[in-house]
Amino acid sequence: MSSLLDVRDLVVVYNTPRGTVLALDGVSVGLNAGETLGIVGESGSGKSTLGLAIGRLMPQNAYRLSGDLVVNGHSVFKGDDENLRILRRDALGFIFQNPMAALDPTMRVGRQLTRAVGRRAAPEKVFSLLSSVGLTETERVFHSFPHELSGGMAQRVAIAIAIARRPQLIVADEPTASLDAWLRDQVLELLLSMCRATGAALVLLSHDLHMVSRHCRHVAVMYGGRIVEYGERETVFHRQAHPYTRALLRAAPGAEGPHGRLNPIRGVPPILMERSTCCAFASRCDWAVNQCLDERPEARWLDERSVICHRAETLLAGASGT
Amino acid sequence: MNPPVVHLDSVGVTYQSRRLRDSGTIAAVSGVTLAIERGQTLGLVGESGSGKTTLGKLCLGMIRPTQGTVQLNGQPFPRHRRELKGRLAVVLQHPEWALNPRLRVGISVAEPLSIARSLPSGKVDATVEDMLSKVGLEPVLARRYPHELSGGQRQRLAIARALITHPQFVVFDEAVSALDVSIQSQVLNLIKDLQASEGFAALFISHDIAVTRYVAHTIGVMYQGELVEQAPASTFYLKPKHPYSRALRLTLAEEDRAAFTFKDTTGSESARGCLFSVRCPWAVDRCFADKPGLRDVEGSRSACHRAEEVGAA
Repeated sequence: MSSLLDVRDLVVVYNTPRGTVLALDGVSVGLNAGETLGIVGESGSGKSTLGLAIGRLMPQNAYRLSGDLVVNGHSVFKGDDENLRILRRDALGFIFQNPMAALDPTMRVGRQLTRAVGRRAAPEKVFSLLSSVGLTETERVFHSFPHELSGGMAQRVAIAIAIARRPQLIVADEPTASLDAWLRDQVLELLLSMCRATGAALVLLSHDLHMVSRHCRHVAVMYGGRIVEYGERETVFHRQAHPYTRALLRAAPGAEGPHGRLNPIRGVPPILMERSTCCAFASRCDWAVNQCLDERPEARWLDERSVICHRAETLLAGASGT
Repeated sequence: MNPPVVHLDSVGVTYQSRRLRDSGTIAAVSGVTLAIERGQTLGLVGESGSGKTTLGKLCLGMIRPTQGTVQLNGQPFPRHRRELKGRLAVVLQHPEWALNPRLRVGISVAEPLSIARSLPSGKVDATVEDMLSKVGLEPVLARRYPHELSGGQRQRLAIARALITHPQFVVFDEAVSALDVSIQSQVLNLIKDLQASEGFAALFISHDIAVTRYVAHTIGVMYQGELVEQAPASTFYLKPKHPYSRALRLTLAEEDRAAFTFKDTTGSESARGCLFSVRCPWAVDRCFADKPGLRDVEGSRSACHRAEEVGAA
C-alpha cells in the first residue's frame, strides 16, 4: 500500500507583530490510503496548523521553515499553484468546526453543492449526495439558504461538499465541536461510514482523546507543535507512554468515580518563539527530571509506538508521579 | 426547614412566533416543577432548543412565566429587580460577555459591588484581591485587559465577578463548553470548591453529560420544554428511567450504540401522547394516546409510562 500522506520534519512558523511563533516544531507522520488518523491536543498545540498545511491552507502570515508535506506523491509546498489547485480539488476534502462558516450565506445549498460536484452535474446527483449524508428532506434542503438549516443539517451539507468529488483524504478539524453532545456521534459515524464507502482516508483533529480513540485506528497526540506520542489506538489509549497523554485522559470528565475528582493539567500550553531546547511539557509534567529541562527529547520507537519523552520507560513501568 | 432557594411550580413560558405568516405561539417551557436547595447543584441537560436556557432565565427572574409561579426563598419575585441586586448571578458560555474589553478586569470584577452598594468603597480593592485569589488568579492580573488573558483566566474572572457579592443562587449556562479539556477540568474543580465554601445554590446548564455528572447533585433532563426526568446524579447514570435519558447516557458510556437508534423525527409530534413517542424505540400504543406525567419511580421522577421497564433494562 502506498503512503497517501507523508509529513517529514515539518516546521511552520507564524509571523506576528510580537515576533515569530512556532506552530509546528518538526512534525513527522504518515497515513496510508483508507486509514483513519486522529490528532489530539489542546488549543495552541499546532493540530489545526497541521490540518491546514495538508492543503497548504494556512493564513498569509504562516510559512514553512523546513521539512515537507507530501500528498499522493506531490509536495504541497514545492509544486506550482495549478498542481496545488488540482490536488485540493480532486484529492482533498476539508470539514471545519463551524459549518455555517464553511457555507456561503448568500447562496442556496443546492447551488453550492452543484459547484462542488461539477458545473454540469445533474440535479439527481446532488439529491443523491444529500440523501447519502442522511438528510431526508432533500428537496427542501436543496432550496434552502444555510441559515435555514440546523447546525447538524449544515454540518451534513458540509460533509456532502467535502466528499462530493470522492477525495482520497478528508481532513476534519473538530467537525462536531459546535454540535449537541448527542448529535456528535451520529455525525461522526456518518463521516466514518462515508469514508469507508468512498475509500477515503481520514485525519480527524480534536481535543477529545476519548472520542478520537473510539473512531480512529491510529492516534497522534500533539503538544507544543510536536507529535509527542503516536501509535495504534489500543496502544496509546490503554498504555500511555507520554505524561501528556495520561494527563489528558485523567482531565476529561466521564471516567471518574461517583465521588472522584478530576485531575486538571496544571499551567497552560506554551507559546514557542523558537525551537524548544528542552521538553516543552516539562514545566507542567509530574514526571519531569533535570534531564527534561536540559535536553530536547527526540522521537523514538518504544513498545509499538513512537514517543517523545525521556521518561517514557518509567511511565510504562507504572511508576506514579513524584 | 428553610424553603428552597429557588422553587418553580408548574411553570410555563410561551413565546410569540416571530415569523410573518405564522401567528402561533411556541411553548419554550411547559409544566416544569423543581426546587433547588442551598448548597445544591441541579444539572440541566438536553439538546438545543429543549428550553434549558429559558428555564435559567426564569430562575433569575429575567423573564416572567406565562403560567405557574417562581419563588425565591419562599417569596415571589419582587416587582423591582433592583431589590435583588447581588443575590443572583449568572456565568455564561463566553467570558467576553461578562467583561468589558475597554476596562481593566479588576474594575469589571468590582462593578457588582458598587451596583449593590453592599460595601464601603474603601474595602473594594481588598475584596477584589481576595476574590481573585479565591478563583486561583494572581491579584496583579486585576490590572490587565481581557484580551491580555487566556480563555481559562477570563472564565475564572467571569466567575469572580459573579460571586463577589456572595449570591445565594448562580446559574452556569454552558459555562465550560468553550474551554479546552484540561482548562475545563480546572474550572469545574473551581466551581465545586467555591460552592463548598460559599454554599450557593446553582443551576448548571450544559449539553455535555459527563461534565454535568461531575458537578451536579441532581440531574434534570429537558425534552421539548418539559422536564422528563429528575434523579440524583449517582443513580441517574446507573439506571435512567426515561428512554430519552438512556439515549443521552449512551453518548457518555461506551455501550453498544446499535442497540438504541432513534427513529426518524421528520413527522410532527404525537398530538395527544408523549412528546417523545415518535422517536422512542420503547413506545407502545398507550404512549401515542395518553400523555405521561412526571411520577415517582424508585427514588427518581420520570415522565414515562414504561419507566420501570426502562430502568430495569
